[in-house]
Amino acid sequence: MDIEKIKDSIQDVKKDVSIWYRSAPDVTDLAGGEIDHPHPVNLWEFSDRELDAWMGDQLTLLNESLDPRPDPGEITSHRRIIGPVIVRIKRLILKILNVYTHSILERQRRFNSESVAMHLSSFIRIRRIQSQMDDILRRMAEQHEADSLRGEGNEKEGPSHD
Amino acid sequence: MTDPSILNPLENALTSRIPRSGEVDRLLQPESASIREDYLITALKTLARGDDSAGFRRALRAAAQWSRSRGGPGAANTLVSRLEVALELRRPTLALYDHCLHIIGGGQKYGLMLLDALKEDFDTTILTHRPMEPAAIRDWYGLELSRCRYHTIDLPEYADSGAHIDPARINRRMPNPFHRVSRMSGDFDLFINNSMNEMVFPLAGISTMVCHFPERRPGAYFYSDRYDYVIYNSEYTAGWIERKWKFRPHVHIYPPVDMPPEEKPLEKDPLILSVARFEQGGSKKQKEMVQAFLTLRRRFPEETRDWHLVLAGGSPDGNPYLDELRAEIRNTGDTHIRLRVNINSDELRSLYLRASIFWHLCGLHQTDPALVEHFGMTIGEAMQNGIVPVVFDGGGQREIVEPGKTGFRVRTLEELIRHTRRLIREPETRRSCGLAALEASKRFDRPRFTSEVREFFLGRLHHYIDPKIP
Repeated sequence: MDIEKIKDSIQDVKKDVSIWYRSAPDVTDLAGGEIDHPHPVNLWEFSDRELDAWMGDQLTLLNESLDPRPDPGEITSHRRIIGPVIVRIKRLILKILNVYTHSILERQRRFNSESVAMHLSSFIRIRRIQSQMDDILRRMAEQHEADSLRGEGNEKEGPSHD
Repeated sequence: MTDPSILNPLENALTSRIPRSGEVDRLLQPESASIREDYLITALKTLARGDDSAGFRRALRAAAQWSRSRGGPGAANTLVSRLEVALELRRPTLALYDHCLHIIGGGQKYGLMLLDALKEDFDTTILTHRPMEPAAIRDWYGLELSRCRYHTIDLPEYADSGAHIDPARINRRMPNPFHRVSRMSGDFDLFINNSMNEMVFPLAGISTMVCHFPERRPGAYFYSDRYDYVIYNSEYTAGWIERKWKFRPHVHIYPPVDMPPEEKPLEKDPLILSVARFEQGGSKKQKEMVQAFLTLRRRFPEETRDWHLVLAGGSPDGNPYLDELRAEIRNTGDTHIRLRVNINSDELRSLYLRASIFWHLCGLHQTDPALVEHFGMTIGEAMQNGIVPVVFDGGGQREIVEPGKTGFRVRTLEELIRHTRRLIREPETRRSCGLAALEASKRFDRPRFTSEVREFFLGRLHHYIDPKIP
């Protein structure tokens, strides 16, 4: 087959493929299916440094979601014509329910807030203790090395790095 | 090689007037995604060799539509791109991505040397998030990559973060800014993610991630297991990939050690050398080396009378660890210890040429595996110059130094002193270990790296162009 004809055919199909590619709204669409899967977390496998980062991340998550009260702004509809009506009705229902649920949800918000503060204080405390312990262990190791170097002291095995 | 019992009906199904996706689907159903693509490419190549241009066009369109239905527009894009290369209508393209390329480092050098090894076979592009120029790469690593394209992918999310782009800042509640790179990866036949940034989803025909150490665990936007191949720099790294990422990486290529002496190693001086960055956290253990050297001199003053310790390495300005180290050395009053900070490569080569013993203690007193040396390129550099390494017994250092033959491995300063003293007292051991180290260093030299890189990638490229169907 003539090479130019092959090129033309490929260019022709490539144009369509390029449109499909550029118009895909996100990478999930480009890949043709779900790309994000949950990864089971085994906290026992984490190093101290990793646990520290994980706890910080979880605390941020809790802090950002401590208010259980519904936000009327979150009510939306994708329907073009009756959408605004649906949204208005839903918001109205929410307003009416709010009379009954406000005090309960407010109490829950306060509880969540105190709970997050409590977790945060524990986190800070653990971090301080960990830091002090690391410091003590480091000094002990250094002292041991220094003692050993001053005399002909016994050798101590270091941590394993298999 | 190709299986005619599938290929002929497949070609017929593709060229039928009304392309029957169901028919193609049925024929290729039992095969895995990559083998299905191989069949399609083989069938399309056969059709391109025939005379039916209208049939070829129909087949190509049917194949693209079928790929799209099975793997999204990314799969269709890969199929057409692959066919262009397979029919030799254009050269294959390669992109190397590194989100830290603007910072000088060993991992970055690895990626750029990899690119250098492949630049004659691909049209190459370097993808970064901060502007890079060939001149900087030439100055930093001595590599000539001026024929590459350089493309900066803007990340407004990190506009305020200066030089440091930390993917760990992104959590599952935020959109993934690195999907800009994912999307762009589909524009290339071969995409190499050299930055261990597991948040980039690969969409190229051949995708490869180079892992120098698995810093983070699988979490939000984790796609390392979606790459066709993961290359690792040492068995130590491979072990931690298995522990943290729960899969076995595919290809082992040691980093290139590229410090061969310009002349034959000289008669060595009584010099102990350390080459390591002066890390602010002290992870390279220069203070401990000073302590050990002073003890060695105090205990054995006669034997160590002519010996010196030189600590060389890079450091940013205003490094408190370096300031403390300087003060400590000054306070000892020992003129046999010298610091050489941010020296040029000529001076470094001269030190390597003259030194007899090399110390490297990264990992001493350390429990976090990420802070133990993952490979230890400077140890390989020392060995290339016939220096006997005495190094910490952990991490990638275990793969480099064979105790008693090419050097010694230690777990304490006391052991460091013991082995160093033995080397000082026994010139013959020093000489034989140095020669063995020189010989062993060939496992890590640049020609070996280039050859392994080319063998692997050109093998993949060959399959990409001309798949062998089982």
